[in-house]
Amino acid sequence: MAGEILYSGLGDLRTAEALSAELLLLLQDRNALPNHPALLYAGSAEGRGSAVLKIPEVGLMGYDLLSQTADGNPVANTALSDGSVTITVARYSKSYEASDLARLTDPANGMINVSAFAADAVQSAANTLVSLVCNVTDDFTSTVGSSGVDLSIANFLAAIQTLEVAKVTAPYMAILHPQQMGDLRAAIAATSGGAIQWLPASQEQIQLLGNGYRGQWLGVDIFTSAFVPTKNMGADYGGAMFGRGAVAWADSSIPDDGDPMQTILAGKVLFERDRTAKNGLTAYVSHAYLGCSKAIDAAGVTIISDF
Amino acid sequence: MAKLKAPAEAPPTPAAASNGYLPQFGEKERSNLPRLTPRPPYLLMYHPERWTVIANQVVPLFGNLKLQAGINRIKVTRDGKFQKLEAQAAMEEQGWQIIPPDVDGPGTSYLRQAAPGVFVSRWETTYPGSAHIETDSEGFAAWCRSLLDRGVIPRAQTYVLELLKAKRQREHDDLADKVATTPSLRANVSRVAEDLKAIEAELARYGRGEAVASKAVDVADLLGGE
Repeated sequence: MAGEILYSGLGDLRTAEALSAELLLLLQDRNALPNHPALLYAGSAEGRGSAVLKIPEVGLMGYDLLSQTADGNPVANTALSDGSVTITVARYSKSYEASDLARLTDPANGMINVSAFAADAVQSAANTLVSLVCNVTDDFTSTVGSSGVDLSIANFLAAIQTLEVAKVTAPYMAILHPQQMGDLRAAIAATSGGAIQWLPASQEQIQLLGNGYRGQWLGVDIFTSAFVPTKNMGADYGGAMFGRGAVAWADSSIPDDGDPMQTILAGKVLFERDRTAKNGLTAYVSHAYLGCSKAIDAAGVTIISDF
Repeated sequence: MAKLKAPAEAPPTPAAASNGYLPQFGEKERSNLPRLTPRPPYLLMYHPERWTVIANQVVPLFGNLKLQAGINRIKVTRDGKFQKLEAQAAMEEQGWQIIPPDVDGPGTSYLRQAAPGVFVSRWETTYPGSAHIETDSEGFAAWCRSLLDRGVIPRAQTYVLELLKAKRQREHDDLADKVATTPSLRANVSRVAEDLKAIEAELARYGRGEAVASKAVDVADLLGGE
């Protein structure tokens, strides 16, 4: 037989590849952290006269006890304990620039268009903030855990105890690397026999506390993030547990100057379009202003465990 | 068993009738860079109360002062240079001491750039196209000890070692209790037991440290009210 219509012979009638209606996002940790009371938001730097925000620390509300004083004697003055932490808000930006040809061939499920870039801008700003927080919490002076050893229940308990001894007010928040979370979950499953209740994250809690929320154990709200950095030259991870006052972060809203090519997303991210007409190029540029600092060192404990 | 023969050399190529042809391919070649997420450069920081055991040596548990604008008061100038003095002052107030990257001499550094935006230490080996990192823990521990020997950082105070020992002992006991029901924890128990030996050896090497001298209190002065 001859003259069959074979796919391989339809070069003019078929395309080499057709785009699926489905779209796969490349892997990234897209878990937001905020909205936990342990994270102290220092406010926006907008209109404050400086990119550096200072949070005063003061030893009042019972910080110093009364001194015993003999009847008829004058009481000596008590020195007021104070301190401060400063947060420097810095610029974080991103630009995706696409040619007209790249944009006009964008299929219905859209990846190279303004909506996709706008959504990306908001998520990227949230991820950047998470990475800043994780890069601060890995170096509290107090630590628990051992280099090269998996995270254990004992380490987790020791972290809680360290904070309680340091008079840190609950609720506590833990940020663990997914590897540490896996170790902890395995330890709980293998050794506690379910004697201590794990409270998994409900849908409402995830909406309130972000996708990174994994649930509560022993009264500690546990979040995971792949942005938790390594310690000891890559041999370990440096997660953390802390209460309010250990970490403070700040941001800034960016004034919208009425340019129709600009918009403010999520109240904090400036998203703008920059057209280079002669080249047929359009850039979608986003800016966020963020900063994060360690505040009261004793209010946090770094959790070291095997990589 | 027959011995394997050494691989023979390629047979000689017959005389070419025409010029040899090597096809040229236009596809992108696989990147030779490691597939690691961005890691900012950093300065190692020593703290007198942070010690650990690595490769059976008691070594400082260094902190990392990340050189990234917005983290712990670090700023960056328009030409991309870091301003760290504010951050350094805040860290020093908390007892940290920065180890200069060229502590081993001019032109040396404990940092290296594995890929654009990815900074690792010189004891970390990265691999092309992979996210895997291998750490030379022995080399790093030896370098830490050299910092002690050279007087760059002081040795651990005895009370710090005692506290570290107590922490490891608790950890050891807790894990040892669980080994009966979870035998896979045995490796962790051995690991922590080795840490304990290293801490005890360090304590034996230096003996008891000196406490800060303080004035004796004359109790009679305090009890003069009756």
